[in-house]
Amino acid sequence: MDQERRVYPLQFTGSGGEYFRIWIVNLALTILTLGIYSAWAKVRRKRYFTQHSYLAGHNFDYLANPVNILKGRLIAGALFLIYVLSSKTMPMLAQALLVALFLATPWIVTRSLQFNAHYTRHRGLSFHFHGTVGEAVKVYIMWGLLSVITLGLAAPYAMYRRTGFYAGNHGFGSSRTEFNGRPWAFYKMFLVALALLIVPFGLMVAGVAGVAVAKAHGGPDMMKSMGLVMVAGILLFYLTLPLAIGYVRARTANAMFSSTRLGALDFVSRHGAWRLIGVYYSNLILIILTLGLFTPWAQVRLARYWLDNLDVVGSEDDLDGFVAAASDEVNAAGLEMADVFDIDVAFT
Amino acid sequence: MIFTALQFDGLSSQPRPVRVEWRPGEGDLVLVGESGEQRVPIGAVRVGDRLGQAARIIYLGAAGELVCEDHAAADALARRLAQGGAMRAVFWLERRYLAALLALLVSVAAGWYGLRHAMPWLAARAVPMVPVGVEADLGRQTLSALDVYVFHPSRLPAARQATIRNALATACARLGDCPHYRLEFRDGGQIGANAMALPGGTLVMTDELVALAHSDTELIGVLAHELGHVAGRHTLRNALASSGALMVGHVLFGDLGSLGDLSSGLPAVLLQTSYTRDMEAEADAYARRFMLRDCLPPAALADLLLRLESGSKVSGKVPEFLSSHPLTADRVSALRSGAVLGPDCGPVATP
Repeated sequence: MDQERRVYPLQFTGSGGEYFRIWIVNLALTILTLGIYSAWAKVRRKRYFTQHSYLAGHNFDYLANPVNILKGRLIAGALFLIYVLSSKTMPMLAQALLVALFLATPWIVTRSLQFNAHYTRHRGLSFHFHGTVGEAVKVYIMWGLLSVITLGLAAPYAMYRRTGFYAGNHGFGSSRTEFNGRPWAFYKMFLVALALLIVPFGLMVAGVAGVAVAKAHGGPDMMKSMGLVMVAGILLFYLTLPLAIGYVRARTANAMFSSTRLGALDFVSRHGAWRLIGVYYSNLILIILTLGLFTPWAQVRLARYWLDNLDVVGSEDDLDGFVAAASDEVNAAGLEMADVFDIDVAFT
Repeated sequence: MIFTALQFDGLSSQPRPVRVEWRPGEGDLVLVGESGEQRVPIGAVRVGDRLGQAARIIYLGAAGELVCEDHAAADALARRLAQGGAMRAVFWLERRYLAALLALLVSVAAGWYGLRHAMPWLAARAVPMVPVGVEADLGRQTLSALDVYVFHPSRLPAARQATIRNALATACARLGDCPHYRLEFRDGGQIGANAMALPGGTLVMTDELVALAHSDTELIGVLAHELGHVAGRHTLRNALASSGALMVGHVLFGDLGSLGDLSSGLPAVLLQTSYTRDMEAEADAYARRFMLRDCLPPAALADLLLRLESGSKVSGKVPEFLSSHPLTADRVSALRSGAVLGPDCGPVATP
């Protein structure tokens, strides 16, 4: 019996050139089938990433049924259509839909996490998500509202709770994850992000206020200069945003993985903030320069960043010793709803 | 057929090396491992699709799954079991650079066609389904927003406003087929000399434009152009088309995250501006017909357009594919070409 604890690095073995061909061929097939193939394309793209992710010599697998995804897409697409059409013509209905969506967030998030985990497999066993809708209500609605009421003071705590909801409720086989992180890391993260964004944000707000004042009292010259300040502020804000997002995402990963256990396994996150920020900026520039054609390479670079900087620590017996748990089917509607409305269910 | 693989039994994460044996026609797949022999009914076997360089997975139902690198054997098994034919073809395409190039051409061509023709066509069909009242609401909201951020109250004398209103009302009464409209005057503020049609039929003309015009005929020409937008319900059509494009973009690129959205949005913006370009040409044609039937020379509108362009310093330098209005020179020559007044018109109608 080998009880020695070792470091097992996760590895992403996909390549940008190969994924580009898969991406473009599946895109063309989606167009040629008027969108029906999109569900199959989605599963194929997602499987490319999971099947090229390896831990200790064994890859992951993604087994969602495209037919379920197509059904979910139709439901979500209908809702999305109603939303975009009504936002231009019946703003009241659009607002009502947004409120309904906000209230349904806990359900959508939980279902989507369940669905994703259920169809992700490794060594013949399924992952699971055990979080309940009730818990999600607390984490997303209650703490979300509280961070608004406290003018953002509770926002880092809300994010800490969201991370805990995500990281502490997963399972593999019959084993469960545990999350024992502390809120402090999230406060520190928010302070740094705030420091990064405060100048561009201040400039933007000053510009907007200045334009309003100039419109009421000043002449066209003041209007022009204030307009310039506003545009500069907005531009700077959007240019700084990837910096802040990259920093927060990398630090969240550090905080999350270092405080999460799965059975006897520990995680080590070596996700450097600067490296992620570099990937973000270079991806953005190359995607713009190539009118979007760089996108597959960009995704592969991100996958490599996330996986190649993550280690699992445990003994070989720990890795081999997971056993199956009973599981049930999950509906695809929740997953696709989150997808179409752009709710980021990942750990940020 | 014989090949080696790793078996995961679906009960634990422990890998088990096995030799897989199957003779076509036999009812069971035989797995030979260290601990003995296991028979899997062939009906339960499903060979996973091949994808990139990834190890191949063969699903065995209750017996778990096999993972192997022997794609030739897995493909042969899949063929024998008549499985995964469509995805084998997809994999064949995915490996070829020529197929990728072809797919790229198809995607770009279809994307261009969709945004440029299919979406506007669909939007034009959908417009009649939207009640006019909804559109009017939207127009009122737009005007009050513009009043706060851009416009100032008009300084044009009431008598002058009435003259222009009457001229348009008289022309419309004579022609009898104007869409429902309401004419408003505003000080243009930052946007200067301009006229616009808001959804629901509100026409806004700025004081600066009235000052720029040399005759009321020119102003009627501009208002006829805006009426063309109202008659075609262009704002609504544009809104519907861009919503549709946004949704299709989401289906195609939805799982790419924010980076993908950006890339899908970029070409869409370029094509969307040229969609409004078509609508400008349509409104010009409307104005031209309107003026000819009302015994007015469309060249008057062309004159005002030229004066507008020489007044603004930048517009002449913007390349056509980036600007929402067609190049003025093209519009002017279209307006001036073959201007024959209607048969009921007298010999003169000089401005």
